[in-house]
Amino acid sequence: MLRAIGSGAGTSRIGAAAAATAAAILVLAALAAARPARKDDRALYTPGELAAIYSHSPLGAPPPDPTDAVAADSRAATLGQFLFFDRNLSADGRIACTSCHQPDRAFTDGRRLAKGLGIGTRHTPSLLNVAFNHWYFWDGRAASLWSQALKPLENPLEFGSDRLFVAHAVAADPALRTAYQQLFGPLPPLADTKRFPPHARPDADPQAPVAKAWAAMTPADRAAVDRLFSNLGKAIEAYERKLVSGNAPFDRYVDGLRTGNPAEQAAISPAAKRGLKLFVGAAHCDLCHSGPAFSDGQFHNLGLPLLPGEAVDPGRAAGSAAVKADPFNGIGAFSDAPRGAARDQLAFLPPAATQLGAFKTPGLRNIALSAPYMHDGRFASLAQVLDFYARGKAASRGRLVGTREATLALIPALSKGQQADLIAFLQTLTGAPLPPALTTAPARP
Amino acid sequence: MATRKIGFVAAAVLGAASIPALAQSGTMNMPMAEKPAHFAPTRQAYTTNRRFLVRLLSVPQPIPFEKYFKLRLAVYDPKHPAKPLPDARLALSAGMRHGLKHGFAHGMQSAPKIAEKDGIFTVSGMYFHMMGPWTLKAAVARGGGQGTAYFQLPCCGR
Repeated sequence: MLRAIGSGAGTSRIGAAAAATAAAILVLAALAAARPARKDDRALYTPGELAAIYSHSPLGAPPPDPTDAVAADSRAATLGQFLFFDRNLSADGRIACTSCHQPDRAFTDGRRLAKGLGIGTRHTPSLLNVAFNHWYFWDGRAASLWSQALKPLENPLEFGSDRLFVAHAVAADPALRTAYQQLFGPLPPLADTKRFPPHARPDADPQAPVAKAWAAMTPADRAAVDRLFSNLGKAIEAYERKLVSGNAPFDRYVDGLRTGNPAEQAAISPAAKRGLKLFVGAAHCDLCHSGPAFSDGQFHNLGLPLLPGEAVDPGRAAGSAAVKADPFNGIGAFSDAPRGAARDQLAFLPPAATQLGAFKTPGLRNIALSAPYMHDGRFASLAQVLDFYARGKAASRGRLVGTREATLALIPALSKGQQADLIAFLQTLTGAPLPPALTTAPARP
Repeated sequence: MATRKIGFVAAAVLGAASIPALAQSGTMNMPMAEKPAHFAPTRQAYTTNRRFLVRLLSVPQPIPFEKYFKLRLAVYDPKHPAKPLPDARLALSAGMRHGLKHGFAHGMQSAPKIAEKDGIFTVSGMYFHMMGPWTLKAAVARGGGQGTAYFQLPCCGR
């Protein structure tokens, strides 16, 4: 009986608990129905699209440059950073690398065309992630970052300087001289100005005073100055290799896709996700903007018609000839690995005529920070760039230099909404600002 | 609807299955439609006039992306395909069709070099800068005859 009563009381308690549990389940179910369960974003993409997305992140470290033996040397990087901000290497003492590559503007200048001592013919590219390039300048006329760094010094529209002037500037500054000698050994006897004149460099015009002064030097003295000059470029490369910006919202999103982490999958907006799907899919953007740096590192003719008054720019057609003739290229006397991969890079250059009007594919990381766009800065905004691609052949009416690459026909007529989605995606490629230690001049070299 | 789907899948499977068979049988003698990214490289192909048989003796698998690589090829008389022809000449180009029936939407950003020894052609300086199916065009000349064979090469493991 007791047992029965007890049993009865127990049954009653169990019934109440069961009812409460059922009610709780119903409430939870109702809540779940009201707020749909978050889906894994991997379902948004095809396996091919996912593979393409994963190929873009993480950025990782820049590839090594064996042609520069001090590329990873922190002392060289400090010297290079000092030189990067140094205005004393220019003809008028007002121009530094930072005049065009301004650290607070993603190492570009916001101008359509570069402005040094004069106005150049091309837009200043950003230096963020610059060490991921295969070639340098829009036309690839330099095969390494160190050889690129030397060219603006002697360009009359940029620094307007010359290698002897630069060598004397280094020798005249005790701190610079010491830093240089600790890394590269003794300087040439630059105090002997009969052997090492204040100004000299090779020049297309053999009658130019700097060219005459250069020709009057002995081959050994010219080589000693070229060695010094190339070493300065190698130090600047060591600094520029540190300008790596890969921690963008896109990278967090890709990490979230890899791990299934919903918080990281919320790192970019739904519009950006639609843009990403287009980028690796129907819009075919990543055929050229491939890999972690979003560039194939190669040269393409986009069919950009000449602007009113714009001079013909042969692009890569001139660049490939120039890099082959460059004494500072990867197989030259000043390369630290002339028998390495640099040899293939120069041995198999395609005929210049096939690359008329082609320019290097820019990387897209931090692209939102580096307006205007294209080699001549013709487009003020990403919206104008996307509009150009969306209009297809119609956007290439006018006088072209060379032939528009047929690959562009793969890009569909993107709607305004699709263009906006692609821009939303491109904006997720902006990384966190670099630390001030990399964006300001060091106190000493 | 279900029937149509099954029919489509079956056609796709049959189509995919036939690709390596064609490639291996050496009957690939016409410019080809593009293939999906995952496929085996064509290993041999007749010239379009069936005058020569060209075999791809070696190719890296997968082909490296944005890196120089080498190929080895040989040209044969289709009636006597045991031994490479010793005196054939070979010219190569490669590109991506991207839907074009004829020609390339773009070529390589490289000019490969060809060395020949005992009828074996070693091609150095091949360089693929885009993912997807590439077409290799091999132009053969020997005596008064000539012909062109096409190969498809997948780039680059994706």
